Amino acid sequence: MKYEEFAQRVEAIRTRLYKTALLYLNDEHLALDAVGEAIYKALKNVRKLRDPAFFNTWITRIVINECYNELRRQMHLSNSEITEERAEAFDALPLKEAVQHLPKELRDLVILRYFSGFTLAESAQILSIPQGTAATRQRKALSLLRLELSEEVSE
Amino acid sequence: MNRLEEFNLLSAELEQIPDALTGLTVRAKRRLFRRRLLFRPLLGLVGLFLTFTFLVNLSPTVARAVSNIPVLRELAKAVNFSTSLTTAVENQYVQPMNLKQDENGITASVEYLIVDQKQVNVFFRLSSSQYGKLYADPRVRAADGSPLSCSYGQNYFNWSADGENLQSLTIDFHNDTVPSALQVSFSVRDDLNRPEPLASFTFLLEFDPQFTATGKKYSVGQRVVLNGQTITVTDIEIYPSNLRLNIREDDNNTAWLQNLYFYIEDEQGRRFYPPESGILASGSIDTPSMTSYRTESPYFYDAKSLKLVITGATWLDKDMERVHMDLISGTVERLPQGVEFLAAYQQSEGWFLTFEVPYRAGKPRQAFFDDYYDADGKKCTFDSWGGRSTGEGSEVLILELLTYPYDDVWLCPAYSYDWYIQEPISVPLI
Repeated sequence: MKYEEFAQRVEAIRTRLYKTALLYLNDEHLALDAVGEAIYKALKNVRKLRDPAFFNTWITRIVINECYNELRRQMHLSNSEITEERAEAFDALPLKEAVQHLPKELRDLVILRYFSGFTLAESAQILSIPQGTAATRQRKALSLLRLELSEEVSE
Repeated sequence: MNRLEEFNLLSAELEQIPDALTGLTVRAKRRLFRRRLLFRPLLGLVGLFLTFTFLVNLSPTVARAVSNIPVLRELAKAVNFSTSLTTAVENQYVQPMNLKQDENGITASVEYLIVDQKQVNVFFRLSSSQYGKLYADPRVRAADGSPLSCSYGQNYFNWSADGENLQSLTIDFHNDTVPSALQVSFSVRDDLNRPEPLASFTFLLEFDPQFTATGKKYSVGQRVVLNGQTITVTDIEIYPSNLRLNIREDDNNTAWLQNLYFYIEDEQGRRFYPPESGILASGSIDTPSMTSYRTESPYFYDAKSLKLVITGATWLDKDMERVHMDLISGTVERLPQGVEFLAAYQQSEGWFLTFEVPYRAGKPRQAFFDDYYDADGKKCTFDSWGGRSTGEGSEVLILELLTYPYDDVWLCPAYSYDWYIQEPISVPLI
């Protein structure tokens, strides 16, 4: 892929990449840094991308990895289950915080599906999970967040 | 406010996109191709992880100087790639650190710093009884975690697979000075393809102010004419880690200075040469010229006077910044000195341009920059390039233009010719 094509593809998706990073990191500065680092790593490794049709999902995965690198540095990673006792406290959180406190596999899906504009199929591809699993997680996440949004189960 | 209203509000909030988002791609390209930085790679360049045995040859002077300080013996070994840092250790110009963190069976420690106004050298170690090879993937940020304007790279000279040796990271500041503190993070992996690191460590490094204050700038203002081109040595900066020779080229010059061959000499005849590895020179991104050159440092020698001794230069003629190549007839307007055009051939993937490029000092030299211009005048970057040695002091360079639809291309030579002088030219500095 030529640099010009790479730049055009990044231009088309950069807003979605930024929104994704911002929801993970909750900080404009860190989100810009994560997206910048992801673009650099994508440019460095673009020859490894076998099919340009997967560019968007591929670079989004890199952004998510960068976000987890940063969260790990901040020791903010938590993968605890939402128990009955915690559910009530969870309900009281503002939506943004509630999303950030979701279990990792649900949080990833909600951010991609409902804030970064990816379809269910694209989200499943980014997360390397079957589409059925993505649909199940989507349903569970929306239930926990008490959000009634279109689930778009079939595409 | 119900959840749906919160969702709509949050979605609207996320639509506020900062201006800084535009330009990240260009910045990534500059970072990747580092066009304006002359960099001599260390053995074991970042990205190449070779396991090797490095034979240390400590000079008797260094051995004597550090023998009274056992902990610095190991550091003396770790700085063997740099004469300036070796001298710094000899003079005990070291800030010991005692920072250690453990995570997931891995221990990371920052043990020493060598710091001055313009450079930080961090000496650290990664060890584990659980994992074999460990790779550091360092990141440098300001003390508050925000981005920092600097360049940095890990030195693999002393890297060993078992984590026994001290490793080093060099952080370089060009226009700014070293701050009072900064943050260094290591995302540690045992396999470079692992998406999530095994462990992440972040260290806040606070510098002793006596070190960040060291360094001095001397105004020079000496004009010199080299091969009909006028340059002015504006000033020199002397730090424990390096000396920086800053120059300005006359606007009326017909060629850009691409490289200067020189050394610095003090009144006792001691010579300070460009370093064997790391950053050799830097320039502006607006012109092809290099305007700041580095040598090993005379800082600890307390020199009374220094002079610049010029032995030659490499030039890029201003009318040779782009040269036309006709892909169909296989002709090229003009080539850098010593470079021979071999062939331009077309395959299903695109055009392949081959040249024979001479070695310089035993290494292939850069014949072209990574940009070129198409028939519409649009600036592009080569899709890839490769080289293979001929075994006779040159290499065959292959430049690829994939899916290139035109019959003409304009290449950007990295130089026009070398110029050497029989009688070196001396310029007094201080």
